[in-house]
Amino acid sequence: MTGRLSRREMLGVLGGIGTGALAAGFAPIAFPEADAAEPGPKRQWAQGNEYNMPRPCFQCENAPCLRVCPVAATFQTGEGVVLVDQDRCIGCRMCMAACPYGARYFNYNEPPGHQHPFQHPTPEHPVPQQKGTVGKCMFCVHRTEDGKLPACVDACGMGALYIGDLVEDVATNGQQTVRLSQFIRENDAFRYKEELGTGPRVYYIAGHGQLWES
Amino acid sequence: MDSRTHTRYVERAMWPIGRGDRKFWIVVVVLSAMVAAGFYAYIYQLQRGLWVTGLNQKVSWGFYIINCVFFIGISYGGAMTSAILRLTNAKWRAPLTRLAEATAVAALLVGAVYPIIDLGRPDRALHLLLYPQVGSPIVWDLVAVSTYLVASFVFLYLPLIPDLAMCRDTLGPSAGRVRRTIYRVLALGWRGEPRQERSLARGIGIMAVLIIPLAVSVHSVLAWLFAVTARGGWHSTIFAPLFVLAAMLSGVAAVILVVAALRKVYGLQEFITAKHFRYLSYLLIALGVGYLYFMVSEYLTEAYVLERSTTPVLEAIFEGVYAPAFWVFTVGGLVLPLVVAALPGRFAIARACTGSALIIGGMWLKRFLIVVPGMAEPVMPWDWGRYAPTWVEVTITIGSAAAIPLLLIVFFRFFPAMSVHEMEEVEGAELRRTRMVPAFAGGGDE
Amino acid sequence: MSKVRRLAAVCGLSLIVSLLLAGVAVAADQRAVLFLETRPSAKPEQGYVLAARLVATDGRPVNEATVRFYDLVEFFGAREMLIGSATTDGQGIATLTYLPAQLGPRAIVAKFAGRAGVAATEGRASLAATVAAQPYTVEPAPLSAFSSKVPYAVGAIVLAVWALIGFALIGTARGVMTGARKEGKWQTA
Repeated sequence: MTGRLSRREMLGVLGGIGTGALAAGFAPIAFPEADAAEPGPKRQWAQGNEYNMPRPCFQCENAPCLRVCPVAATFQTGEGVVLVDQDRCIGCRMCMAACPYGARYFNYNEPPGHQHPFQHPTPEHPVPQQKGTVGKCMFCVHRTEDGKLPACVDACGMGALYIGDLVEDVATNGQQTVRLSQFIRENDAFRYKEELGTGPRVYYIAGHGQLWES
Repeated sequence: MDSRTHTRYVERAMWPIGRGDRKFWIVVVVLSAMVAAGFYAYIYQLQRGLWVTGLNQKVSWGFYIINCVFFIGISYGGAMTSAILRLTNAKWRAPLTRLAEATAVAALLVGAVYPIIDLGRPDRALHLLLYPQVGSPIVWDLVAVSTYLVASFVFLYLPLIPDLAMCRDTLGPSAGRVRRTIYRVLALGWRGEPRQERSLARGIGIMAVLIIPLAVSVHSVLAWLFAVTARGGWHSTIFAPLFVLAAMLSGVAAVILVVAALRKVYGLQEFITAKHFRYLSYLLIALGVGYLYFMVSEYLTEAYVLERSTTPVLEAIFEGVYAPAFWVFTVGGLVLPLVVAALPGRFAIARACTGSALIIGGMWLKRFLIVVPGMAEPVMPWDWGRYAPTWVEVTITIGSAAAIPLLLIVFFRFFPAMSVHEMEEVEGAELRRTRMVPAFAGGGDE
Repeated sequence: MSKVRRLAAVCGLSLIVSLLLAGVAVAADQRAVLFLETRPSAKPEQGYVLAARLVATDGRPVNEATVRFYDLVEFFGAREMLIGSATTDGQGIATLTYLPAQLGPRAIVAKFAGRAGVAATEGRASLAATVAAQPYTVEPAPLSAFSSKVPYAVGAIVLAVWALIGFALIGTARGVMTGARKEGKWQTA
């Protein structure tokens, strides 16, 4: 298998958060300057009093943002990643209202990124993003296609972020590779707002002294 | 109604047509300037993008969505008032229906533009027709609003046919050739034949019945725009009826204001009297009390359970940052106007107008209280969103509000302000008992 | 260790010192061999038993040693996925039951990280998995059978409404226009 994921991705978040690197700040870690093509506002991290909480897109199985899109610009790839076709998006922001995680953002201004003369963003490779459309964390499909880890996983110095494949049952933070189901079970990983029934695919691992509250 | 009153009625109904004194032009110029300012603001926004508004990542719906709901709500009341009064065969409706229907169309035109203003990529608005996804509440909106818009036009046009014939027959060459041709074509050769009367009554009857569920559907769908999300302040089963009632309430209030204003301007005092305002006030009070009840029902169930998702919104509304707006709305925009309108005694018109103005302001605030706190409430463990409109949003709002009277004034410059035919029909009903058959049942002459 | 020795041999700076160092190193770390074998579990649905036997070069089993088992996977490059760890018993054998996530051939690695007196070592084995864990499945959205039909019902209603509006407008227009052809005069009162 290449870097391309087989079917269902997940992002595990190890509870090393609150210490060291992640406590220092938020998104610049996830979007290193080296990869300036990274889209979107750098607001992917929620900060609490007791901890920092990474907030990627939860790539819900039964994604509410998908259903409410009036022009079907939001779609789910075979791997389960929810993407926005920015050539079709009309910018109504209904999906932002529907997302229970606030994971979407609107490109109010010209988004950053290289305006490559020959490369136009495609639905599967929405980089750079377009002004007036909605964007979201997309598990760095433009990097995973090339066999690279998502930028946040790659950049996290504490190895707190894992990316995994639910079908192949494997997850890695870049240094260490674990069996996903086992890792989730042994660490009492939980999914945020699981009770909403959207089937989020991001797991958090608490129990490192942080106080978790919703 | 004796023939002298009738002549006078026709004269007053026709009075605004072609009228163009200085006052008229001043009003038109002032309103047009406001609308033009709104247009300027929109072009400014088009060129720069939505960042010129106060919208942000957390509060991504603001004034535009509020105004969309608000203006479509106003339109609703006009259609509803007219339809209900027709179906219940309220005789006092005759001078009011045209004003109500025209208000409905004007407000709807303004409200229906707002979703486009709100789009990040208005150049792609056509995608809604090219790639519609039927599961989206916005597509429901598109279908419901366009259906309702067409229906409102038909509902305005059908009762207008006999009056167009009257314009065709009574307006002299002063009206100009183009306009007379338009009257002639639109009047469809109306001559008051019994057969024509029958088909007209049938058409109006169908539309009067149809417009009510259509209006209900429009506002339900607007409510579902919010209620189908998982946000604490929005995910409520009572939202659709609450929106419908809110729309009727603000709509009836708007009709009262429009009727009062045009009555003054067009000199319709003889025909639209304090009695009409008292009746409209009753409608207003019934709807207002109903709305209060729905609201209490919503807040009671939510505030009793205190779910984690709804509690922050309730706190913010009852005692937090949005508390001033909420209590101003509840006391000043709902309870007080109802009391003012309900009081017996003199100054019925002034009281009805004061109450209506307060209710309209209150209902706008209420829409604000639905949209903004529901959006600003943190869905993740982070801070509340903040929202303050910029001059662009404010200017567009004012411009669009000015567009409604402008549309009405322009419309009544070409078409009779009161339905002459309907007045005859209502008067005739006293003489011919068979006329009492409900109009939608095709109530014919015999 | 080998680095130290190679450095000593190539440079030849101080024969005695380097020999002494090498001698100390050899004396401290005895080499060990890890034999890894895989076999189906007694209960086949439980998967496979990975058995690692850790033996020192002098033939004695190494006990109380922690052996980590890895599955070689391709996931953003070749990676060693940790299956788990086990401790060797008196015979130097550490076993672990492994139920792969997918069928097919797999390469397993068992690693011993080394400890005082015993050098690190690893052993490899392959495994042709014929049983696997329950695959990850995506459940269909609830009520999807029902909600897929709703649009048709609503669409029919919408069409009916449009037909009714059309009828009200066109029917009335036709009625008025055909009525006009008859003789008659419009009454004003």
